[in-house]
Amino acid sequence: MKSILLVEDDRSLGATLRDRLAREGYDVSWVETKQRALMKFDEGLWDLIILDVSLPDGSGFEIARDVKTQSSVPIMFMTALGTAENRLEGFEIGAEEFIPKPFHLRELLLRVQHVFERHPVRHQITCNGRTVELDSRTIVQPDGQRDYLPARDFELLQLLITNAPRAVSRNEIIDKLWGEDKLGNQRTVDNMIVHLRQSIGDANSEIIRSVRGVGYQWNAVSETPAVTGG
Amino acid sequence: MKQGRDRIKILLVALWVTFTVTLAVWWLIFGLRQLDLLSQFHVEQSDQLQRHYQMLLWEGGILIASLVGGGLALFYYARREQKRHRQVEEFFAAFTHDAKTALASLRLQAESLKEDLGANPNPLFDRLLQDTLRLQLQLENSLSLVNLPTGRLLNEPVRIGHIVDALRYHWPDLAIIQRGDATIRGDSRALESVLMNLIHNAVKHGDATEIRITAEPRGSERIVVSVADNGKGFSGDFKQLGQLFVRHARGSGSGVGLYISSQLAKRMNAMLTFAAGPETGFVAELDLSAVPEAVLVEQQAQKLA
Repeated sequence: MKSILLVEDDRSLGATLRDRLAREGYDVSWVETKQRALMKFDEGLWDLIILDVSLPDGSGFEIARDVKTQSSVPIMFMTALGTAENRLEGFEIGAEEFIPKPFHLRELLLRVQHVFERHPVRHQITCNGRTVELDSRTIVQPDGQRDYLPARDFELLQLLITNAPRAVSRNEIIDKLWGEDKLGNQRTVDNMIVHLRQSIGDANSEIIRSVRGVGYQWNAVSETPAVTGG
Repeated sequence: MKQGRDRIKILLVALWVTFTVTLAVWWLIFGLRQLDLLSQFHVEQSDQLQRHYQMLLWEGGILIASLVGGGLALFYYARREQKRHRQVEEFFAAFTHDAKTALASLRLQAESLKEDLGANPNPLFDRLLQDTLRLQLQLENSLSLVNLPTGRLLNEPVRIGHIVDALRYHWPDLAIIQRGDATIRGDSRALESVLMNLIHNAVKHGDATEIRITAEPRGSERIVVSVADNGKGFSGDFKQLGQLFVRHARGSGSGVGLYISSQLAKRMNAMLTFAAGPETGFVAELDLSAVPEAVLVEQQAQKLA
């Protein structure tokens, strides 16, 4: 199922959009503030982010800039302030769509569909004869055996895939996986990487590459056409 | 950009005050020195010159104080005006955001309900949706009227077909027929606003049931988009159309739709003209800048790369 992070501060519009998109078969998480949007973004693997530009504690542009440094997830803006400056800023950040309010339901759904057509969802990645299923959090081995990864290992795998081709530093991995607990250390991260490489048969460290002085980078190109998760 | 302009205004005020006060001080010092020199050569008139000296000192001092006071007042009022302008802008931004968000919510709920009711929805939903469109148009026209002198437009390639597709959502029961397609250079929102106003007028004032939108090249650099309807047409003076507050009939419309359309067209380096249809109805022609085909091919190639 394709996952959408919806950021809209108006409760009536947010609830209506969430219900309507959910009815179309999307897995929608709706938040009302910039702070909660950034927290929610870190928690999951998103296929699309729909952002309202004006939020009570910041702007959708700020969220988009932050997100774009970490991920290539497509972003759609919806705004009542459709000035030239606003639209230009949205497209400069790299927005896929810029929908002026008030819009029509069918128009929005069609634009969401177009975004997914341009950015096929990768919930299943095949590399080295193994299939990583992001929804079920498993790795299917060449003999058909399913390996269920420990939650933290899977979060690390997901973090690397989401950020590809950017290399993720060890400190960032510790921050994202352990947060304020700070129980993880760089040795723990390295051990988890070794375990992940074994699980995906990456004996030569070609899929999860070590980038000297930076961290780790997901370097696999899916061997099969991208499979939608819907 | 706007903050930069505000800073320049304040800087100009500061420069003017500094220049005039410096000039006045220099003149005063020069005058006093001249009087000193005169009193050295005309000792017999020293009392009179001393009085002149005192007079010049007082009057010069008052002039400088007035200039400084006036300058400070000018500075204060310029700052206050800028602050007030920012507050008005913030109010309009908040008002626009709230009004359009509420309208979006209302429309989505009505459309969801209409879809839920299936094949035979209550006709009230259509009326409700048309009213949201009317409200949207009034709101956008009012905001455009306020922003026309200062609002910026983008100069982007716009595909006519994409705009027509968006318009079909607004009038699902109206036959909007498109002939030909082209990419013009202009602002997509402004062009949509122009076409929305033209279709709204055709439906509201002309009772049109069909709109034909044709895009044809005129030479190599221009595209003419004509919007023709099968409505009752217009019986008044065509030359007056597009002027501010000129209404189709007393008590109908606000008289800003075609004015805004004409102004937006001008700002896109385009021209909007009106004429009667060949048999019936009303025809509006929009003469726009074309995007050369070579540029489009290059853009397409860049996208594919």
